[in-house]
Amino acid sequence: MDCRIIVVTSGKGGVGKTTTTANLAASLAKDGHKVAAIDGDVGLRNLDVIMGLENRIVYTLVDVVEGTCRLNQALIKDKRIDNLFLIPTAQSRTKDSVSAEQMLALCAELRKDFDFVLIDSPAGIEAGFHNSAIGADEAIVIVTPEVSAVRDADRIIGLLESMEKAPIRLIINRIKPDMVTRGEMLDVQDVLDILAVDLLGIVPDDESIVTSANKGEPLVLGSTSKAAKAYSNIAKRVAGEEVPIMNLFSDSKGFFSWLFGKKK
Amino acid sequence: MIQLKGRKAGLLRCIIPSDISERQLLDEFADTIEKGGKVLLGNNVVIDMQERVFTPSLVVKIWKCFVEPSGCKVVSWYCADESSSKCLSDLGIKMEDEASKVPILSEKNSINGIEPGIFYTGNLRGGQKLIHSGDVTILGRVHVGAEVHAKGHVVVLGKLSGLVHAGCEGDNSVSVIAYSLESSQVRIGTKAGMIDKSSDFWSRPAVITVCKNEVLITGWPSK
Amino acid sequence: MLDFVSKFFKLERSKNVAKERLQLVLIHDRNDISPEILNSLKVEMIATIKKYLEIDEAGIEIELDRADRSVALVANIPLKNINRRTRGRSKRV
Repeated sequence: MDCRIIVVTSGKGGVGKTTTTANLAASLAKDGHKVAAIDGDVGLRNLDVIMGLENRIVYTLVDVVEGTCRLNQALIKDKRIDNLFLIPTAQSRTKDSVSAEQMLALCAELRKDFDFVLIDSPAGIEAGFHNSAIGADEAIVIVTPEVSAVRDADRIIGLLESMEKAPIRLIINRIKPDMVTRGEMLDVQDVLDILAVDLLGIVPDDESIVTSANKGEPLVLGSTSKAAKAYSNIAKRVAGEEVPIMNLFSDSKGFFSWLFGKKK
Repeated sequence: MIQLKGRKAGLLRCIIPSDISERQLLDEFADTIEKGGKVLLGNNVVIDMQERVFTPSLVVKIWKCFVEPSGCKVVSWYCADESSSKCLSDLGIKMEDEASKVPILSEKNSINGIEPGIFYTGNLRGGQKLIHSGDVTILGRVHVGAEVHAKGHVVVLGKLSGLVHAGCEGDNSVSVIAYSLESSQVRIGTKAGMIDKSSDFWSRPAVITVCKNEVLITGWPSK
Repeated sequence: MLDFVSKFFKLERSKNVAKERLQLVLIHDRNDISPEILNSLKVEMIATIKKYLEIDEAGIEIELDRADRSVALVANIPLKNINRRTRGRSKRV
């Protein structure tokens, strides 16, 4: 299989890029693909703690691009999931430490060895975003159902389109079904109407995201929560399987049967 | 109520509604000067008489009660009423239409000024800008925060939520055509039209033109 | 009730894990010394030690040792003929 390099981005900060990168990478790896997750947010290292690999960092992305170490020295292998690797970023550097050319070269090298490379992009539309996206083939845009996040997502999608990333697909994160039912939150269709982009998946707002981040254990490592199921579905869609989009709203009593498929 | 509207390049438009009497009008002038005195002082103003039918004696009153006390500089006048407009014009007063139309006509005559139209396929998203000195057709949507600036007409065959400025070098004779109008503002030439969600044309096919010096929105002709 | 208690404890546990991990990560971050800095530290240390002692430069090892709860700067500096320079002096080095 050819390697696919995907940038995970959003424009606005705090909408769940890192959580999504960590969980998608873990889910894809669990499904048997060889995955590298790259923390593209130089200077603000986070992906390592979400994945629970912070104690194993010796070399970073900056060391690789500067030639201080070899690529496979910086690839941290996750001992819990086969085929899952992380390239952490440097905490003591700034975003200027990695150039676009260096990122392209790194992506080309990773392409030889992996099925999927997921790049966690920094928030914003500056050089950091540009560099993390430059080596990617496709893009996943994370948005929450909030006006500011949707607006920033539109801007980011425009930039990704001009960088000729394709496909560019959307994950709507932190949906609160009860708020949507009350008409107090934008629903999936509203967001899609505004952004005019393909939907890759939806993730409900879920406590398990916080607890899994607390423990540094990706959700696929055993959580049975709705969010865990959502990420696993999304990973399957990324890999090309056809999985129906979750139904977050079912009967009027307020119990959710989260999957269309469950009702068969 | 007399309105003062700001326009680009420091030009103010003083709109005098035709439904108030001359007496009221003079009182309103005093009010306007009191409120907007600082804005008017030394600034360029277009006096827009709307549909009002009037005689040169009113012009004198306007001069006495408004132009002189406010210290503004009148660059041109506008009247929708033809005979009044002719009357002012005969007095040698510069009328706005002549003032704005003359350079555009000459520009249209010189073919170099206008480039062939362009056809853009895809959505224009927030932060993106399309600038072209000619007509622009967009097969896609113009999102909030996106901008289209065209010297000629602009046709959006999709939802228009962003900003479109047709005739962006001052040509008021062009139009904007949208498949679904969902933008709060559309600019044509020197004019800006404001639309809100309660409008009958919101989220429907619309043609926006400048008519009688005001931005006019009409629906697409039904057959 | 039991359910509530166990849920409570479970949340409590993940919170504590988070706090512990964060404290650790921050210790590391605050001590994050780049290979460059470590190298110049090494050069300067050698220069200083050389004033007083004869050392085996090739055998020097300096590194940050990251144990579970702390970070330590570990320097292994082999000395040559420690007694030659200090011979005749009463002070011990």
